[in-house]
Amino acid sequence: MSFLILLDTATLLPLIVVFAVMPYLSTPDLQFGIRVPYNFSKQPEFLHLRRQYTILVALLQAIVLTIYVVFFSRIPGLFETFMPILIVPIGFFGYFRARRKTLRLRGHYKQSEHSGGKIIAYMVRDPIRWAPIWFVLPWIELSVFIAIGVLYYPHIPNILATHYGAGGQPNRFSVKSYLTVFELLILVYLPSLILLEAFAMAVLRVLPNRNSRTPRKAGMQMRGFNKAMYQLFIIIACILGLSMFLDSAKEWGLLSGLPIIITTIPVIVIVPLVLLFTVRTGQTGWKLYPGAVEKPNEEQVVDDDQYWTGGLVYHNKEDESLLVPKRYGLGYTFNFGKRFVWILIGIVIATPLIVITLVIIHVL
Amino acid sequence: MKTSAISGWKSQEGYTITIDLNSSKPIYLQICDSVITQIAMGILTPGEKLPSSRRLSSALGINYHTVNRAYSQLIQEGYVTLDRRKRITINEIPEGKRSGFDPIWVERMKVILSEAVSKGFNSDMIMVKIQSILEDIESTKDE
Repeated sequence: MSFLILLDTATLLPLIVVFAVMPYLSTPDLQFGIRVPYNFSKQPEFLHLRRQYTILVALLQAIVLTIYVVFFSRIPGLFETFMPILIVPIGFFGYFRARRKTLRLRGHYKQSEHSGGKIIAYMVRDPIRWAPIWFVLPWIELSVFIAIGVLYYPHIPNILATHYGAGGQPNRFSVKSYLTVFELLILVYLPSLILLEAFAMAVLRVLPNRNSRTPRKAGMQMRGFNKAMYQLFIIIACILGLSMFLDSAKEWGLLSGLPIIITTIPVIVIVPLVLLFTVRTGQTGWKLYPGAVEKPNEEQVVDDDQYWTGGLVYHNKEDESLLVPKRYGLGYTFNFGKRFVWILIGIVIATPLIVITLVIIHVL
Repeated sequence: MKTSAISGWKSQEGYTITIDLNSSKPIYLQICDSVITQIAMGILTPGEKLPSSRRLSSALGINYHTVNRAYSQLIQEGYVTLDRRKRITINEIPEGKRSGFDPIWVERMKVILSEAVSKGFNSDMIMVKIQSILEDIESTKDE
């Protein structure tokens, strides 16, 4: 029981931190998903609003987590699952509350500011190429893990424990074969790796959020951000690979003494890692090149809020981009106004379903 | 436009395309102007490839047909060429013999100069301004 609490706390605590610091990572001209004049984020009223959000959300979430940890053994079964998930709606409640207030605040502020329709796009000449060393890293890792599996194959027991209960006791078994031995590495990890690297490549070409005030700096910062995210995607792929290997090695009896928590640690590390990267770069890289000075153009507020539902979901048929940087949050999001994106999501969801169906038909 | 706009970064790292949605001038012509100005300034150099119309339209947040129209116009006027891989390449600036000013330019210049004259500027003031604009273009080229 205490193991589960530890695991949940280790997963939920970084999530609480992410919700708390998120507005501090947003680009200055995009606050709570709303396009605002550049100096807006320095207004005392807004600073107060942002602080209020962080305190409110972190406090409510911390209360939920504390109740969960303290009363864990006395909570009925259903709440055991749903209580920790409460953290997410609390975070979004705080977000939409702050968003509403930001919108009201900007209304007053915008009237006194220039607002025009000038769009200046800075086209970076030399977008970052896929660095082959980074690209092959997870493949080398996977090859090493498979080589270990092949070498150790004769020593693997004929019955594999493939699933463990909450108490750490195995409760599902499979008969040894190359398919069952490498199930996690080949059937689960390999497709994920291909998908992750495809995204990593796509990310390198993502254009910055429109910034006509300092387009050149924004363009170069986005270039740096894309590079950092490319590396992050590869690191995440490596961590997933390691996690899958540790799980497999436990099944093989190679690391049978390993406590289950060790195999989940790599996955727990991912959220803090993404946060760490974004704290360093800022969302869309606005913290990069702090020393670089670009003479700012006249303030231009281009009204493109209409394409962002809730400041979170982007849908713009006119925009040819499929991946765009998020306005609020970490990383990227899809342009849901494009039919191709829906097809892509359909394929990603359908592929495992088709595989499972085929396997079931084959077995029956 | 100058190199010193961002200290520590080379001007070679990119170029800007500017449009004004509130302007009465068609957007495709604004894109053409942006490209031509930067060819003159030496920011866009002969042989350089312009972004695909889809990419540029994404960056500007406009329809890609508009960018296509701008590119067709630039091809027609001889500033760029569409190569075999369907990429837009900046042409060489012709050296030596010129067949004289294009009558269309003369017409355009006449309109702008007439505007200046009818606003009360005399020819000396206009010449000084023209000289300074040309120097501005040339100075960027030298860097």
